[in-house]
Amino acid sequence: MQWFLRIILIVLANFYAPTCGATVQGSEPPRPLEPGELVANLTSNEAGAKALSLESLRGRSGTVIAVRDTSCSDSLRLSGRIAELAEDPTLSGFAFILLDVSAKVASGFRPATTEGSLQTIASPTRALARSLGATSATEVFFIDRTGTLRYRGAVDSQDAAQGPPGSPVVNWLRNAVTAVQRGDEPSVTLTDARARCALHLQPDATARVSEVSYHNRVSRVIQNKCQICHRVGGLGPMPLEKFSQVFARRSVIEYMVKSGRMPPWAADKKVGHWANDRSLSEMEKRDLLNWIGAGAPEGNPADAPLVRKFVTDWTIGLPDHVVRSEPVSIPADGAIDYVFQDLPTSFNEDKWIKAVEIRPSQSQVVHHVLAYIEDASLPPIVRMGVAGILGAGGPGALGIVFPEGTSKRLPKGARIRLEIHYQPNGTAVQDRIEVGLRFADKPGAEIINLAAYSIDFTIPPYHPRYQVRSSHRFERSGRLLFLLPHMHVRGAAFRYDLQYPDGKTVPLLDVPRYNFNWQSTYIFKTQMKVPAGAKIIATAWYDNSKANPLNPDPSKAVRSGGETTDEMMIGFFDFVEDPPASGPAPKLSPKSAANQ
Amino acid sequence: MPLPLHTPSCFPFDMVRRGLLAGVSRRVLGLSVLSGLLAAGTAAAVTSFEPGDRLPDLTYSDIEGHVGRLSGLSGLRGLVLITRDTECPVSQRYVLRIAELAKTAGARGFNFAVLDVTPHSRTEAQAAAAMLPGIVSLFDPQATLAIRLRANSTAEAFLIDRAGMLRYRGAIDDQYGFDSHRAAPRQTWLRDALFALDQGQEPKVKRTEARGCALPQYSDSK
Repeated sequence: MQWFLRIILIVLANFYAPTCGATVQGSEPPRPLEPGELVANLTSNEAGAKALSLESLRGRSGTVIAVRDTSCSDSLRLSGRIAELAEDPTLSGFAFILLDVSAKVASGFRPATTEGSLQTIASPTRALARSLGATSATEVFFIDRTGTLRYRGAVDSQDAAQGPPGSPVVNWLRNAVTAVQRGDEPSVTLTDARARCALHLQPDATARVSEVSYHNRVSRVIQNKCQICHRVGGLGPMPLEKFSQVFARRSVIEYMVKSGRMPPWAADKKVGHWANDRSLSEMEKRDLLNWIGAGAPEGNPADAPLVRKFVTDWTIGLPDHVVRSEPVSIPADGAIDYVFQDLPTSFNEDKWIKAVEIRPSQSQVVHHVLAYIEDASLPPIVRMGVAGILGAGGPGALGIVFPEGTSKRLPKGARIRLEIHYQPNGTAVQDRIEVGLRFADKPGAEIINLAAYSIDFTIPPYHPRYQVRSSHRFERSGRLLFLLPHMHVRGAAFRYDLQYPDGKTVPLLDVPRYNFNWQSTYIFKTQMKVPAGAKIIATAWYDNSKANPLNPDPSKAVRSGGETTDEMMIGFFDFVEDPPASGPAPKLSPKSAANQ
Repeated sequence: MPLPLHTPSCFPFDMVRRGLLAGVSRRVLGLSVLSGLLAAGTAAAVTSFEPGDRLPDLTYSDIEGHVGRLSGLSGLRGLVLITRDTECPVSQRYVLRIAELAKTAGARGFNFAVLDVTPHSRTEAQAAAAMLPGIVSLFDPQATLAIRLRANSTAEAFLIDRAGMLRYRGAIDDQYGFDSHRAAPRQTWLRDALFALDQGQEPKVKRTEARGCALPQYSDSK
């Protein structure tokens, strides 16, 4: 009987206490390190030589590790570029390491050599490359002085073979290093280096932390994905800048992350790749939730990342011109309809805008702002206010710098119309919006904001899922730069598809749970090429039922209109037409811009 | 949405498991099992205070450091205690409503107090209390009192009569919630409960779910 009772109790104890003091360990296959992760101290153990710790080679400001394979000419060429960076006196605080994965081990093998400011680690077994999850012999890894991976990928855009031919070269690695050197965040943290000298290594898990704690992992996730709003002076409530704050809020963090409400990013991950994607990766989500489930251990403060600094001034740089709204009084409670303001401009010529930023003075009560260009010279679709977006402001929305060589035209004498959604937060305040503009030296390719929209629909009372569809046909080929679906409080879901001239249709963006309070722009990571004759198809779904908590009156039939209680169906997009085979591009005609 | 603060500890079961595996004596094993059963039983006994329950006369500390018992805060007709987290948007939006209710209900003998569970300092709590002049602000930076009340959410109201009986518990009204924000409330549960009691009647609605933010957690309990 004793042994029987013993077995029963063992089973019960294990069943009821699976998470007591659990150590967080992943059980799925290892995957490559992601920027923002702490890189464990890697050790090189090659050819029976003395073990070499990467930490012993770290620079006081950070470390660049570049993979090299002498059998690949591109890799050798890039090694020269790394050597140049190593010799740059402005980067003297950084260590530059070549990780040589060449298959042959020369006689007199030496695990590490130094030439000038450049160190080389010989790793013919490729163990270190596997630990890092290196994908090619042209890939670089930049690790800051806290051991955090800040950038991985190609040295620059030319080596990554990205961007249209003739595009300016973007020096991703150098930009990341100098950004961190200044105390800023790299604007690009991950690029694809697989275009040349691909390695086919199965990554292992030795480079990542095995037991997740706040300091060695969660702090980095919160920094990268949450603190832009959740910090003192940020747009969101509940600052998450210290362990004590994150620990106290773990319950609401868990709920918000599990339900997909936070970070606010509504796009289905299976469709599209976005430059401004602020969602958690699957790994970040898993580590964060597992950490909470394991009791939210603090860990060792020595594993903490650098404190993230946020730009409090203009993120686009000092504007060339600022347009200001009239002050708006926001009460302490209640709900406010959209506020519209028309801001005159006084330029005596057309202006070409290369960057725009919208800044409220009381961001804590501003949910989002859309800024439109209004001018008689623009196509009807723009004059109607159904297109012609200049920029958008909202949670986590920084200023927009348009791609190199493109700009938006602000006609001489045009107005900037602001559409502002305020939300009271318990304190009456007065807000004023500033629109900062930076001008291009020369126009370049014109970005036109257009839309697939509909104004001819009526949503029946109590309808839980009413569909409206519209489309826009492209007369000329070009590139899509961003998408912005727009509906009001009954909006439930939205989708963009691209239909090619041969009828093939590909999805561009799927927002299965649209939220009026969290409208986002979606900036293509790689501009989407569109052939002439293609169509963008926008589909919107509305919930006019009682189940919609934002629905002011399910018993009403709802038409298109400008009030919040009306509805809108607009699939905005920014588009740049390809230059014609010969001659300058014609100006956009009203017909080509009309909703078709 | 708000998660309950109190969940059974896994400690007794883990101790049992280790004891079994290490071949601990039967006596110790038996004590372990017993303590586990007692802990589980204790955890199951009190999960929530519901209307009709007599609340324990709990000790509080206010933002000035004064200590007292909840009964001492009651007015002639009763006390309304509302959880508050100044970092929670729902709590922020209800500030004016609380002030308004305190003024009208206060004239009828109902005192109001807010239970500040925000993870901030006493100085910050005092600054926050200035937004609700005339309303006692209890300082609960470890949410100890909130846990003992079995509170689930911010902006959760406990209407306690003079005898210490809970008469209404839940949302102030349905204007603001974690996922909702109306121009005006449709249901005014706390106001209606106060009016009913003032008229010597039972509130029609005694219990609703407060839909504020989950309360901050300061201990290791989940």
